[in-house]
Amino acid sequence: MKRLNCAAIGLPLNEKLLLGSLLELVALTDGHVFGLLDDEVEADIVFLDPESSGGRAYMAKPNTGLVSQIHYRSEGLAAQDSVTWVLQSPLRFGSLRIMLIDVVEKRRSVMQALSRAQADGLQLKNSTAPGQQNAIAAHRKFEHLIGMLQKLGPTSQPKLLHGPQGVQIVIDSAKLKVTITGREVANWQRQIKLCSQAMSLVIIQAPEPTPGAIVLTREQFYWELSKHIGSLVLLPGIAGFETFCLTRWPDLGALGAGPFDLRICALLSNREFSMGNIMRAVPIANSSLIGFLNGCALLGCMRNTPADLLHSAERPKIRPLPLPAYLTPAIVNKPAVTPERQGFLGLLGKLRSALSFNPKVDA
Amino acid sequence: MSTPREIKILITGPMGAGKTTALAAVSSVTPIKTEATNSDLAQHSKTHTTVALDYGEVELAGGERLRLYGTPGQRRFNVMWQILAKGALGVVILIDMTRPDPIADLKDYYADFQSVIRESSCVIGVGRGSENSALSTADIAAACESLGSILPVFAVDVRQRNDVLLLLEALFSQIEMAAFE
Repeated sequence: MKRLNCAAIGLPLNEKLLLGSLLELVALTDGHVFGLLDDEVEADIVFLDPESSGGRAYMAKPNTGLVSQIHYRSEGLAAQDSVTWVLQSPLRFGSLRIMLIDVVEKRRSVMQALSRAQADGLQLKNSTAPGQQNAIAAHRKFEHLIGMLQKLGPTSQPKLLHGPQGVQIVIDSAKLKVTITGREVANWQRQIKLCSQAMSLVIIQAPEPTPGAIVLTREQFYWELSKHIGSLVLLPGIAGFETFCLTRWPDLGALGAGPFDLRICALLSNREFSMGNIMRAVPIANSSLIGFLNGCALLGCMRNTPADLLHSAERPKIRPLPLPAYLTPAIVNKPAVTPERQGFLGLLGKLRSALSFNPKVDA
Repeated sequence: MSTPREIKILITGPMGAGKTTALAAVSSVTPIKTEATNSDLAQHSKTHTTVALDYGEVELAGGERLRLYGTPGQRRFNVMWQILAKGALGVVILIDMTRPDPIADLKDYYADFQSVIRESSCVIGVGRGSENSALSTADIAAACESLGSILPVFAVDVRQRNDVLLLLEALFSQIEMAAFE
């Protein structure tokens, strides 16, 4: 029978005693039992109040992933990220047991990954570079923020404030059921800076309206957020896809068009292209393209083809747009520059030069 | 087919959508207007309206000119639209969201300019400032999709030059990117 050690940090004494009693009653079918220790040093699972000083100090320590954190709060909260569980007051045996089943399952996955890495002679902590780990952590927070925002009511209007130190995104909503402490804001700021060229500071639940803030629609906010923060990796909803296609153009009049947004939209309008082919057609940086695709996904104008579907017989037939009579089809990898096409590209160059459209340049 | 000799773009849409204003915002010469007293006050309350066409142009390097044509808003003047549309780089359809049925307007103008939309490019400009309308740009985009086209639909203020340039740039981008398969 495997015993998992638990510890409680920052919980009131009566809650701690109740937790200890309930843990003694929990025994999972695969032979796990739980016990409550006085010290967290040898704990496998830590119950903590993230608002308590002890809880904050514990969260500030580096976590190897081998200790599972369960946040205990007296108010209803959503989980803060993929490795955090939230246990709500009052403590109930049923909910505690269900949560522990999930915790044990997640711990098993982590242990298996660790075993595989050790078997391969690798150090798990060295599998990704420190900067990449930080960036991935920042991206998880971005995903989490998006998840929280999507649960907000339609009346909640995020605000954007351009200041001398960068861009402030202020979400002033009483409906947001997560409180980010001052220390966490600083942590966000540091981590976001690692994965974004433009410094972006995210403040949640601003204590009072910020003077001079630009109120954004939800769509504008998602767009800004994707451009500034979410440009590291594709969001989970589109990460497994090989090609991308727009079901509609994002309203770039309201959102503001970046230098290459119009061309990418035109390229992906009812046609499928991989990221590599998009970048061959439009000279855009990888991070900017990811931000664009994430933004389109958040706005619901993206259709894409999963990698497994792409190679199956069920792949939907995509009808290419008819080409204008004066244009000659070209292969993306090797554009055929015919005199006619060269003439048109020259004409477009002249038109652009004469009209001088000023796309929005990200700060 | 070689590069068309006349480089032109059409700006169309119902009366009061801002066609003349949009044309004036980008034309490098004083636009030529053919306005007369508005005899169709049921459609729009403005005192004057375009009856033949508006014309503006942008000078390009090498002496060429981009010609901009604004159509009359009243569809009873549509006899010359097909002539104007022939060989156009694209068409800008401006939609006034304060009118009774903007989607019906869109369908009418889409049908009128179907050939140029299919052969070249099209962009829909929706008057900004009509946020109180029951419809959004997404509704207009959905209407385009029901017509078989995925077209750019942008909220714009046609008094702003850069907003009108955004519409034109959307046309150019479609032309440019159509070559990639």
